[in-house]
Amino acid sequence: MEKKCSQYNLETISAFVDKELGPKQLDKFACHVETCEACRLVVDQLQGIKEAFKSAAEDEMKSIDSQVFLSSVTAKSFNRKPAIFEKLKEYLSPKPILKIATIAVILGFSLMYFRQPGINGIGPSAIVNSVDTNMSSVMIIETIETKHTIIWFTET
Amino acid sequence: MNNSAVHRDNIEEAELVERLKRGQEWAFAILVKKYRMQLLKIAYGITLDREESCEIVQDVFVSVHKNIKNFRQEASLKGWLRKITVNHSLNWKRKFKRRFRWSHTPLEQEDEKMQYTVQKEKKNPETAYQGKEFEKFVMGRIKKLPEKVRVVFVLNTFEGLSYDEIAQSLGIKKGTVKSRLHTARKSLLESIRS
Repeated sequence: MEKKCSQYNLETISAFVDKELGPKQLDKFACHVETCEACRLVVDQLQGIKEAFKSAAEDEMKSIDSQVFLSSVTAKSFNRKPAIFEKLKEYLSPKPILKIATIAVILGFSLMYFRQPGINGIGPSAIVNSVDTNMSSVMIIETIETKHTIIWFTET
Repeated sequence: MNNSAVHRDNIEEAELVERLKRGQEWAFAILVKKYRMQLLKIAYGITLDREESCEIVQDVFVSVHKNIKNFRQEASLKGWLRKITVNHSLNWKRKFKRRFRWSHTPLEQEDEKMQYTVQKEKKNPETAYQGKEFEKFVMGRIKKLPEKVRVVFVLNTFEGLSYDEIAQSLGIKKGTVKSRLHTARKSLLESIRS
């Protein structure tokens, strides 16, 4: 069973711990606490709780990386994207010379595409087979998409 | 560290505010460096959540950056930052309650009966362990304090503010501060004595 002090209550002891006692009260209580075991225990307990709370919070917050925190909060405040996006943006940034090179490459590919024979079914076809007789001629022509058979007759 | 860097780190508050108002990034970095830990502890004391405290304090700095032009140097920068942090943390708690994500206290911790021992002597591994266990126990009890009581207790413990300063900072009466601190301490003392 813990001893209780009959002279001072928790409120006064709290005020002492918080340095909120007036000069007279402070002197009086400081003398009292020297001899009162119950009050001294409460003072120690209150200080112990304070220290434990402080220490727990400090340990928890210490694990937050200060550099990561700073770069993240700076990026948010100055409307900056995270570093990786910045690098990517920089890499893909449309510098004038890159713009010209890109346009040239696109034009080059387009010209090559349209100049390729047989594309879009309009280029020359291959004659797969042909038969000539006295009465008629048959020719099979193959394009990329279809096969055509052409037959014509001699009128003589 | 060169001279200009040293000068930058020791910059006066008024000058720092002036630089911040001009939008200088290095001044912002000094502000973050100087107050980060202090604000993190306040936010953690109120929310008791590491990740959320980190987000809250980041939001505080973003908000300071946006609103620094409205800051009049009648109050201290530190006090202003503290006030914003407390408000953000309390708002977070409200959002948190709405989302029904109340933190869970394990049952083992509930049943734990800790004997209080003052750790004044140099810590050996055993006393260090006991100290950590006691911290855990205290944190478990602090979690159970009503939010209003905890805010007062946080400002008293981490910031070492007087009753008047706490009252001013939270816009409440000095008597209310006293009674909330009394409630917190009574409850914590009872739990370590049980």
